[in-house]
Amino acid sequence: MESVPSEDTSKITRFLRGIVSSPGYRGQIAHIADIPPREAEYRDPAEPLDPALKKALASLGVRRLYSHQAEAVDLIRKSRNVAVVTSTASGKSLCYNIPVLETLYHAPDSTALYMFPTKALAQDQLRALGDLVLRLPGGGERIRPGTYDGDTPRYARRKLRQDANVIMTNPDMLNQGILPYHSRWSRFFSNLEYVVIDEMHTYRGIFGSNVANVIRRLRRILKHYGADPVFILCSATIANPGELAENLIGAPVETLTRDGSPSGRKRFVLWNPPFLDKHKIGRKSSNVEAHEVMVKLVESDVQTITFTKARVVAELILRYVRDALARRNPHLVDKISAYRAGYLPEERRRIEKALFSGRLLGVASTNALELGIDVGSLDASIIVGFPGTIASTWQQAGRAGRKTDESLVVFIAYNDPVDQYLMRHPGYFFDQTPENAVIGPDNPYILAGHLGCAAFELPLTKEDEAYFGDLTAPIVGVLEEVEKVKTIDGSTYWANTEFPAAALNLRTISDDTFTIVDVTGGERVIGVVDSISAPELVYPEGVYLHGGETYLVRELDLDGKIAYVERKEVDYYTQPVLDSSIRVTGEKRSTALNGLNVFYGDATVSWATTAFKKIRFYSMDSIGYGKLDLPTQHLETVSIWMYPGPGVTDVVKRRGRNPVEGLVGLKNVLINILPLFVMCDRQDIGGLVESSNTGRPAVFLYDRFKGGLGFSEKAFGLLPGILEAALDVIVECTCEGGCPSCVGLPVLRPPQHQDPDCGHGYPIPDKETARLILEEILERG
Amino acid sequence: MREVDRDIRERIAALELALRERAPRRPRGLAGGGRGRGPLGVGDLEGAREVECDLGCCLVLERDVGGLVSPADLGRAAEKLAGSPAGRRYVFLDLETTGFSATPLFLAGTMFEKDGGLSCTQLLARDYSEERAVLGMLDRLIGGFDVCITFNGKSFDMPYMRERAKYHRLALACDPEHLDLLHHARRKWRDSLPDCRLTTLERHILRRRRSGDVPGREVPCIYHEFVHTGDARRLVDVIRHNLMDVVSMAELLIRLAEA
Ligand SMILES: [Zn+2]
Repeated sequence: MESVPSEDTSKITRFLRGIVSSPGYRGQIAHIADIPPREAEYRDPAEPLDPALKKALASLGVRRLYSHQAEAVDLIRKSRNVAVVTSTASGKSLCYNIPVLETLYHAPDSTALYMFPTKALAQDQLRALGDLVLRLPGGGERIRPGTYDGDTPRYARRKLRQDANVIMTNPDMLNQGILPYHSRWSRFFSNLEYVVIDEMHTYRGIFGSNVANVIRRLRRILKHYGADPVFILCSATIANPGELAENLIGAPVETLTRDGSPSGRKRFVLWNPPFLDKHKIGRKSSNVEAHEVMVKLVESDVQTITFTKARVVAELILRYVRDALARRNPHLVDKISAYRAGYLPEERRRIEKALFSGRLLGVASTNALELGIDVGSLDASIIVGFPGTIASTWQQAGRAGRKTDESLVVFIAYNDPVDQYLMRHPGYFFDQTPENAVIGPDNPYILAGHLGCAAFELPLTKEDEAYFGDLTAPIVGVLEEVEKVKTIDGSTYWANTEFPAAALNLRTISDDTFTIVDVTGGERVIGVVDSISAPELVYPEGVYLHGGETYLVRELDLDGKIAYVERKEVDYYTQPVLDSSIRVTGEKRSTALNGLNVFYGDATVSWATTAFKKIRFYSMDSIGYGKLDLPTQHLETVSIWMYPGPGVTDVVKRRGRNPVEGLVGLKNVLINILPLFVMCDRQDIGGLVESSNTGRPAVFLYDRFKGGLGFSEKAFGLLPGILEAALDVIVECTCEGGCPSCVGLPVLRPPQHQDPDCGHGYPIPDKETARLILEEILERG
Repeated sequence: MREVDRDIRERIAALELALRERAPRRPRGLAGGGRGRGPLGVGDLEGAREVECDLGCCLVLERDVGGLVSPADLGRAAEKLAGSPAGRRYVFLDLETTGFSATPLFLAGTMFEKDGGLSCTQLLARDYSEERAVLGMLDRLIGGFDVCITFNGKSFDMPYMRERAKYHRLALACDPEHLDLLHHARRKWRDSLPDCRLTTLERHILRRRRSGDVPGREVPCIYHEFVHTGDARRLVDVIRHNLMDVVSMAELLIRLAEA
């Protein structure tokens, strides 16, 4: 461990020094990285800001612009599309609010469209813009912003369409509620000067591909109304912001990555829970360890956010921290909260506000707070377990960090191979570039849905190939054959009573939800859960944790989509036991590739919660078990699967190695690189090694989307090249026995309702065997 | 697995299936898919002729509805109901559409005085591309009258027409006064009838039932089918339905003006 500097005495430094010198310290700190402070870089725009706007900004404390803000303003004034990629608290929203206000203040008939990935972010930005507008003389009449989304009441919608000049919405609403009704928006669209796309990095994979097509539809409608707006995109750090921005909007974009905002010194601590005993196998619970760190921070008056991978862990940590504070510092108990999906919107708003105002000292959150809701900057961020991507980790780390004060990030490892690898190789973490965000807007399955919508919105013509690409004509042909559309004199019309946008879900998650009702003395809705998760979170007799409190689930009404829970104090929580499988339902193609048998076809992935375990708080002792009889959920999709023939496995066995280990490694590498070949996100494909279908261990890679989206189909065709690339990755990776960049992929979709503390992890698969298998198949080596 | 979209609607799943099974995709091009224009059976209808204007072509169906109601009586009734001066020119209007205003309208039924009798003019878009022409001609037709009489036109027909004009970026010239019979019917019969839908009023006030009429909710489907197949057999029912609506409006107007 590196020494803690002693010359300065900031809160953070004092805290770290206190930790290492305390009698209970057991050498948990594996590494401290010191991220030096960054000075603010100010710049004025080439032409001065409007005096009224300058004054309004000054009254909000913005006296000068950061360099990236000024650069953005300059480019936008020249009608150039811009992508701003800077840190969390760098004042990104001014990069768009300034040019928008400049224009609209003097030409109040002009309009601007803001798109955010969530309704909450739109609300948040509406408040921020409103603050600025109120400080402009006469601003209230000239700038008329509003959110237009699923929560907007009907009467307000008409007024917004008629009158608003800034509309804040989300891609889903554009898809279903705005673009299909564009004639009602003719005023707004005809005068559109700006399109703002914030949190661009969230538009990746299937969701991103859908959003890119929504933007294509938007652009052709804008052309119909004669508008040609400037696009302003903002993003957290990813490897390829410029590429993603251009793919999303289908036009050239200038990318600004130089961050002019200041940041204080940041200490990034890698924290490994201590071994339980001298055998050095088991480690202390990471959740318990995390709560202890959090308690100490809160007690030192350090405002802290703790990020967890599962909702249940956020609740556990809240509970543990509150228990500890109740014993030691009862006045702090109410200054802690949890935050996660499933809390009602009002509850979330309350927590955000309390965090912003400093009334809350600590919050335990899932990645729900990773997005840019403005909760102010915090002093410390605790990350419990590797979130799965480098980009996500930096997002979470970025929640801590004020402009000048020191901040702290504590990354607490689970006792699983990836987290432990990161503890041993801190360099990996700090040297690694964040992931690429890949989208495939020309995916034919995705295009089919959007071309139907586009035809509904305005007849498609030959010119629309400029928006939708070369596949336009063949897909339109297919839509015509199934009588969704009809081509008349070169124009293709929607020719069906269906409303195509309603059939199109942009996201891979569903908006179909269960309500959680507390029946302790009356009935009260306390939360929601999406319907796929419901059997894993609110199964009968299970413990549902909410606000750190324990509720027993009395009944799960699958038809009514309601879970009835009752407040009951128990000393345990429960964990679902999941059973999942994949079954090939129709082989469609097969080929042999030099000793590797490869197949493509239909497959059904099934999973169910079959039982649950009762686990005592703190000790994590398993104290009981219950059987469940819940329906199995199915995903009917397409998959490729492959297994090596005896020639290959014999070579592996002769070297004294286990082929299955190599196949697991191969599967992980493939999941890492497949997205670049088939244009999707890692999360869009699932993979596993199993032998029940083929009678021998086989690697399965399937589309994580009902009916499939062509990912595995494309992979089947490109497999030789993909395998070559896989071998390159393994050979070129400088690690010894495998690492998260090659064969040791972290669990991609950690079960969202399982406490990683209760798992046993899994070994990093055998890199050498994976290499051997590939070398045999590809005749390299 | 949690993020699998199980919500995707069955039809798109079926569509994807259709896509997937069509392994070698034959580019068909965007143009040329249309079936021959021609009369397609609708041209054979009584009083049908193709009309062309600067916005394109559509089909016009004209028929004399002769001595059904006397135009003079209608004029007097309208004057009484609308409280407007004598000598105004009236036109009845009823639209048939494919659903809600984001989707095309395809048939506009109108009725007005002509040569001392009543004449019914229906404008039909034989496919979606002719909606523009229907709108343009309808605009010109209505523009020749002072008052437009509808049933529920305040909340349906008129906004629909305006919305579709905006869709096509057409500026409507017509701006007639508007007499919506639904509002008057409600005032008069709200307490004595279960509801004030046109079919209810026909049964209870005009004392007749339509035989073989098309339920309104099937209209969009019939039209799309007609565009796909060119077979006008079921569309004829819709055209008759539209005609009946306009005729009923006229009779209703007389009854509404009765003391
Ligand atoms: Zn490696």
